[in-house]
Amino acid sequence: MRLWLKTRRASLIAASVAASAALLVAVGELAVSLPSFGSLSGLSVPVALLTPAVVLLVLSYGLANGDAHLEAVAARRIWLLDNLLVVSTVTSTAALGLLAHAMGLSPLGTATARNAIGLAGLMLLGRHMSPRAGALLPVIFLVIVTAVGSNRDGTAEWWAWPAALADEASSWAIAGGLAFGSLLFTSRVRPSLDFSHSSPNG
Amino acid sequence: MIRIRTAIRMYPAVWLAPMLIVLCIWYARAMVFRSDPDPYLPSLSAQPMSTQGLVAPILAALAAWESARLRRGGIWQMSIVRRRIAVVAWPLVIIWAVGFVAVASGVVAVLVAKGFLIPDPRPLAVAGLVLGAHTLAGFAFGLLLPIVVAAPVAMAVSLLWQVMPRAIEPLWTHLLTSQQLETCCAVDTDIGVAALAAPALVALGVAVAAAIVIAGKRTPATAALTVAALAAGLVSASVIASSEPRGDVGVARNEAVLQCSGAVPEVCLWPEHASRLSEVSGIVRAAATAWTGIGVQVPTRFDEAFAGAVRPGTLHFRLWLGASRDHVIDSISYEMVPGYIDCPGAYMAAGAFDPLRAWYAATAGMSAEALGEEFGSLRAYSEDFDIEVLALVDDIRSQSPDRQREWVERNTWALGACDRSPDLRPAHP
Repeated sequence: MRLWLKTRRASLIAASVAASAALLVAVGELAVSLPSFGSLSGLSVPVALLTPAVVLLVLSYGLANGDAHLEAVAARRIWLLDNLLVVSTVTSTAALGLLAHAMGLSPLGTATARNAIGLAGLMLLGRHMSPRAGALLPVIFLVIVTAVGSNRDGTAEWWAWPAALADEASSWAIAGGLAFGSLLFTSRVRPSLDFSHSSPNG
Repeated sequence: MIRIRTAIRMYPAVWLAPMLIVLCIWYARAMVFRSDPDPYLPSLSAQPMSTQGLVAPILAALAAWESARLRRGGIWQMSIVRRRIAVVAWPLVIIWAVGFVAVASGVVAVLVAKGFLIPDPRPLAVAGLVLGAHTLAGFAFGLLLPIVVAAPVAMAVSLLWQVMPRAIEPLWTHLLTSQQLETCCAVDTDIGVAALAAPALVALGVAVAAAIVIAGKRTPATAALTVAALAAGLVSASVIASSEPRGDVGVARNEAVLQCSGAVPEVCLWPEHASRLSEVSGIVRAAATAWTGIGVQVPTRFDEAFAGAVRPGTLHFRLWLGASRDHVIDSISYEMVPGYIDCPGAYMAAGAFDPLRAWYAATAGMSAEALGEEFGSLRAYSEDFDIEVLALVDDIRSQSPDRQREWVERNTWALGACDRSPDLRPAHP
């Protein structure tokens, strides 16, 4: 267990959760936008909503460490531990977001918690496609949301849930569905091993 | 030299090229043709630069991917015959070329629709440099970071580099990214040196820093050089950008190219509007005659020069190619009224601005429909007076020319300072 935690860079992941929460508070309501197809002003995306990506990048790096072939035949169910690591990391990130909101430190804490959950689902799906796509999929999706996720009135399209307001139930449903569905899917359908490489981290 | 067949087989950038080109053409046209822009070359060449916000992060991610692929293949641990630059040059050139062609395609698609073939080279030159820097930086990320996160980190950092400076203050920081070029330019402005040089210098600093990393020697000296290159680029760019405190991309255009009517009052338009010179000149002359008939002092020259260039006896007004007669009258009427003053407290004469503007427009012959559309919902107000603008203007215009001139003069005078009360009442004692 200790060796697994060390291999998965658990301390680094914990540090990234703390860093993400600090970033959430530090950036406040600062928002970025790309000119959008949908509206004149583009979709204004608060940077705070993107902060869970920091955690997912580090988590993705941690999960890609280790020897996939050895772990596949290990007596311990490493995939279960990995999924527990994902769940605990995302839960901590989301909890810190909710706490920041409750304490008045960030008005976007609740929406950030939702994004941590949904983007983790995307990361799991990406990892299932290729260990190297784990962190890429959420980032690509965020870029797409920023560029084309705007309605004519400058609000987020229904599918651009990371940029939606925290009180939009559909965004929570999509984020939760993504996370739960991905966990279920990746627990039941194990990816086939590529024996040409020992570790995706090179 | 890599053969085309090999490049198609090896590089995801080549696979993505058709999609990127189509995306840039679509994106550029959607952005620029949201309105009907004048056929002004610097503007039509600069506005499609918005596509860089999408293309640059994709290039950075692709470069990081290629770089990570070389690392995964253990290339740098082998005793390779070719020099390092020969190994990295092809992927870098191909990725950059795909991005540059995509951005240039967006520009060309916009230009062709407006009857141009050759773009203004300045925005494209900056785009080339910026895309090169994003590509090099992405490749450096691929060498420095764990393979799994190199591409997403490169993509995220590249996106933030493009959009973050525009989200913060002071406003001059907006010029640090080439994305800001998309706000260029009204026909009375040209692309400023700061808007071109600032993103180019940032890009140059990043490109040099990334090149040092890619060169491969990791010593304290090269680390210091990398940081120095980044700092030099950022500091020099900031110095230049801060010369435009409001973050304006456009600067006053060279007035020597204005084309003038020769009649009195003289009307001067930009070459892009010159096809309407005699028509606009006629509208302005008629308006000036009507105002002079009341006794109001009228400028001897009406031109489209940049509004910041104040000259006595000259009125600067704005025009666009599709402007109607009413639009022209509205534009010159607006400029006949003194501009708002930025007052620390209340601007007592603020309520006089719209009535004066409406009086100028109505006297110059603006149609009843346009008057209703422009002023129908506005009110004329002062401390002890409040009435619909059009009702007031009708009342004023029914009076003798002398009474009308007095009304215009006393309220124009009031607009000149924060603490002067206007006297909008038609019957001045």
